[in-house]
Amino acid sequence: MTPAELTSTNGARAAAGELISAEGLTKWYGSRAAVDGLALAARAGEIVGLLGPNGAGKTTTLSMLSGVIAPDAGTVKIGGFVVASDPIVARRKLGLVPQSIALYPTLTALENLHFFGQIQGLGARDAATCASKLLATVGLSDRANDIVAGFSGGMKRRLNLACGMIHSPAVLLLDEPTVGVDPQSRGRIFEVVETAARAGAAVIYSTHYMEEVERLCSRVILIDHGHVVAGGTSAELIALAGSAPRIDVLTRDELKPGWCDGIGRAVVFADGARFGASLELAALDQAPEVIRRAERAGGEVLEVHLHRPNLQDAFLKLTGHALRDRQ
Amino acid sequence: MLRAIFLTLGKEFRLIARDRVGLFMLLVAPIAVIAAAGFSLANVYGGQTSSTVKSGIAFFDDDRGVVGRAIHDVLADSKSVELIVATDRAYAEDLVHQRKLAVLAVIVPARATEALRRGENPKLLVYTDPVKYLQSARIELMLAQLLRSINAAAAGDARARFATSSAELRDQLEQAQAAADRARAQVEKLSAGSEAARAKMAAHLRSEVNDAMADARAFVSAALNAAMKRLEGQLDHEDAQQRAKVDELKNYFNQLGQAQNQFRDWLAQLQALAGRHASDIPPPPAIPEPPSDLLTFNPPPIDLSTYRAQFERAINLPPPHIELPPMPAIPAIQIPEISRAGLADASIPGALGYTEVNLGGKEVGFVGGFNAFDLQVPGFAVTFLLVGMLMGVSLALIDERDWGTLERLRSVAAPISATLAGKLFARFVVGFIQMVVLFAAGWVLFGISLGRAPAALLLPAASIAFAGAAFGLIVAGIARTRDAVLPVGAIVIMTMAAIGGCWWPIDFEPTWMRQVALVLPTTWVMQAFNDLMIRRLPAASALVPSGIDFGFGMLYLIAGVAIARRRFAA
Repeated sequence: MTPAELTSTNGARAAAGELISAEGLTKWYGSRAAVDGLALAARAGEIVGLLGPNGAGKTTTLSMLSGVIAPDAGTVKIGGFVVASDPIVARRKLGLVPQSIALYPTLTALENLHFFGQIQGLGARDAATCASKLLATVGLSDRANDIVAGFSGGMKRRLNLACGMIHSPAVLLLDEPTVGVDPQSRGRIFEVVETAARAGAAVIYSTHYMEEVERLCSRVILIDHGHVVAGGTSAELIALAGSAPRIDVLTRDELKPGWCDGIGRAVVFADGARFGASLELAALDQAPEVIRRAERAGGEVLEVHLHRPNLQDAFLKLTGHALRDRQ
Repeated sequence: MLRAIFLTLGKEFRLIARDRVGLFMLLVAPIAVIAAAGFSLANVYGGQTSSTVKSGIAFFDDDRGVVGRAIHDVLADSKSVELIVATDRAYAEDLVHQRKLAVLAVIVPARATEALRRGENPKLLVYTDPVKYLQSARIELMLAQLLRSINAAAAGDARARFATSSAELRDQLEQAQAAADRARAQVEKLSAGSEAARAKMAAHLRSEVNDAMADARAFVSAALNAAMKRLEGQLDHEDAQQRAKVDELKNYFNQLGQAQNQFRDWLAQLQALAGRHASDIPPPPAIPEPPSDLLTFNPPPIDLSTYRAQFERAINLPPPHIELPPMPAIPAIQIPEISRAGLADASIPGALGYTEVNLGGKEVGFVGGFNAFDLQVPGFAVTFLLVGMLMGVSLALIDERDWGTLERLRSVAAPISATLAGKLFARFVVGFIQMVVLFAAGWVLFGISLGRAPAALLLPAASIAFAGAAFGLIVAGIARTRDAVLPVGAIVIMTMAAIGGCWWPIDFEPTWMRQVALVLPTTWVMQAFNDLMIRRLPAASALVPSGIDFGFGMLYLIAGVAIARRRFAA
C-alpha cells in the first residue's frame, strides 16, 4: 500500500468524522521545501502518530496545522473551518502542545491554566473548574499554587499538556510531549492523551519514540523531507517496510568469517573487549541455530538480543540510517 | 479582541509583579539614582535641597574696615559656605590651589573701606580653582550680590545725606522765592499807584489850562476889540485921506484932459496956419492916459468884521489836549522761578540691580535657581521609564518567544495583535504608575515642586509612557535576541535621555544638539515637566509637548506594529 493510498483511504473513510484535515500543505524556507504537498486527516477519538526523523517537517506541519505559521500552499480545516479564513473559530477548537515548554515560569500552575483557558474562550469560572480537574488529571493538584519555575521537567511537561487542552479542544496537536520526562510522567501523559481521545478529541501526536506511537496511535503517518513516506497502522507500516526479526549476539572472541553461512548475512561489530554480530532472520526458529554457531565461532556467547520487527525497524527502513541533524 | 487584551493585561501585571529585579529597576533604582544625582548636582542649579553641600571659601581681610567685616559676616552666615579665614594672602591662595580645601579665595584689599568712601572703586581679589568652575561661578554670583548690596548700602547712605542737604536748600529757596514774590507784589502795587496819580495830575492840569485859556481869551478879546476900534478909526481916517487924494488926482486928470484938448485944438490951428510946413511941425508928445481904474476908483469902506471873526475864532480855540507823558515803565525785576520739582528730582543715581521673581510675581531672590530634584526626578523618572519600556516590552516579547508561550499564543483563539496590544497597554499602565510613584516619592523625599496644577503632570507622564511603550515595540522588532536588546536598548535610552535633557538642562547643549533633540520624545516631555514644575506655568503649557509625544507614540506604534507583526506574528 502506497502512502497516497493510505492517506486517501483514511480520507475517504473519515470524511464524516474528520475533525482536522489538511490538503497539499507546503512550506518553503528559501529554496528548501520543509513540507511539500502534505495531506493528513484525523477523526474524532483517533490518535494519529506523526513520525519522522529530525528535520522531516513534523514541527512545521504541526505549526501549519495550528495556524502558527501560514502555509505557502494547501488548506487546513479544523472542525470544518478553514484556518486561513476563519482562524479564530478554527483555533478555538484546537489545542496545541508545543515541543518546547510553553509556560509562564513566574506564574503558578493555576495561573497558567487560567490564562490559557480564558484566552481560548473559557469564562473565568469554567477556566477555574477545568484547571482544577486538569491539575488533578496530570497529578499537579498539590502544586497548583506553586511558581512553575520551580517545577521539574516532568511536571512542566504535564502542565504544558494541560495548558494545551484546558479548553477541551476537539483537535489536539502534541509535538513530542514527553521529551525529557521520567517514566512516571510519561505514563501520566499517555493517560491524559488517551482520555482526551476517548472523550472524542482528534489527536495528532508527533514523536520520535516508536513505543509511544505503538502504544497510543491508532494510525501513523511517517514523513521525511516534507513528504508522507508511509501511513497506516503500526502493523501496516511494519509490513510495508518488510521488516524481519533480527538477532544480535555478543561473543567473547571475534566471530570467524562464514560462521553464519546458510542463515543470513551478518553485520559484525566490535565493542572494545567484546565482539558481536547482527543479522536478520527469515523466521524466529532460526535463532537457536544462530546462537549455537556463535558459541562455536566466538568462544562464548555473552549476550543475545532477539528483536521482533517493530515500528522502529520500519522507520529506519523507510527513512534510512543516515544522521538527520538538519532541523 | 478586547477580552484577550484584558486577559493579557492581567497576565502581564502578574508577570511584572513577580519580577522583583524588574520592580527594583522600575522603582527603587530610579529613586537611588535620583537621590545621588540630585544631591550631587544640588549646588549646580542653586535651589534649596534638604541637604546642601558646603563650599569652602578662603578669606583674608587686609582691609579691617567695614567692607571687610561685612563680607566676612555674610560669608560666615551663609549655609552653603564653609569659611576658612586665612592669615595672609599667600595662605589664602594656597588653600585654593595647593591644598584644594577651598573653592576660591576672597582677598579684601587694604583700605578698601576708605577707598570706597572716597568714591574710588576698590576691587576684591578672587582666586579660583578652575576645576571647580560651577561651584566658583555660584560663589562668585553670591559675592557679586554681596558687593552689590554693599554698593547699594553706600549709595543709600549718600542719597540720605544728599536728601538732607536738598531739603535744607529747598527750604532756603522757598524762603527766597517767598521774598521775591513779596517784592514783586509791592512793585506791582507801586506801579498801580503811580498810574492813578498820573491820571489825577492830568485832570488837574487840564482844568488849570482851561481856566487859564478862558482868562486869556477874555483878555485877548478885550484887547482885540480895543485895537480893532483903534484900527477902524485909523483906517477910516486914512480912507478918507486917500479918497480925498484920489479926488484931487481925478480933478487933475480932468483938467489935464481939458488942457490936452485945448492943445490939440491949438495945434490944429497951428498946422492950419503953417500950411505947407504943417508937416514939419512935430506931433505933440502924448500925454499918458490916467489909469482907467483911477477914474473909477471907489474903494469900499474897510470892514474889519472878518478879521474880528477870525480873531474871535482864533481866541476860541478848543482847549489843548493835555496828556501827561507816560510813566516810565517799572523796570522788570527778574526773579527766576525756583522749581521745587527739579530740586526734588535731583538725587544721586541709584544702583541698577535685579531680583528674580517667579511667574507668580513673587520674589525668589538673586539667581534663585531651583531644586535640583525638580529636574532630576522627572529626568531620571523618564530615563527609567524608558528602561522599563524599551527593555520591558522588547524583553517581554523575547521572553514570550523563549518561554514558548508566543508559539502557543499564536495558536489560540485570539489574534496575536491582542497579545501585543495587551502587552503594550500593560507596560503603558505600569510606566504611568511608575511615573506617578516616582513623582510622589520625589515630592515626599526630595520636596520637588508639583507646579500649579499637579494633576497636569499626568498628561506628559502618560504621553511619554505611551511613546516609550510604542518605541519598545520597535526595539523588540529590531533586536532579535535578549543579548541584542541590552546594547540596542541601552544606546537608545542613553541617547534619548541625554540629548533630551533628562540629565541636565537642555540649554547646556549646543544649538545643533538642541535641534537634533526636537525629534526625541524625551525633549518634549522634559519641556512639559520643566514648564509645569520649575517654571510653574499653567496646565495648558503641557498640552503641546504632550500632544507631540503622543504623536511620536503613534508613529512608533505604527512602525513597531509593522515590524513586530513580521517578527512575532509569523
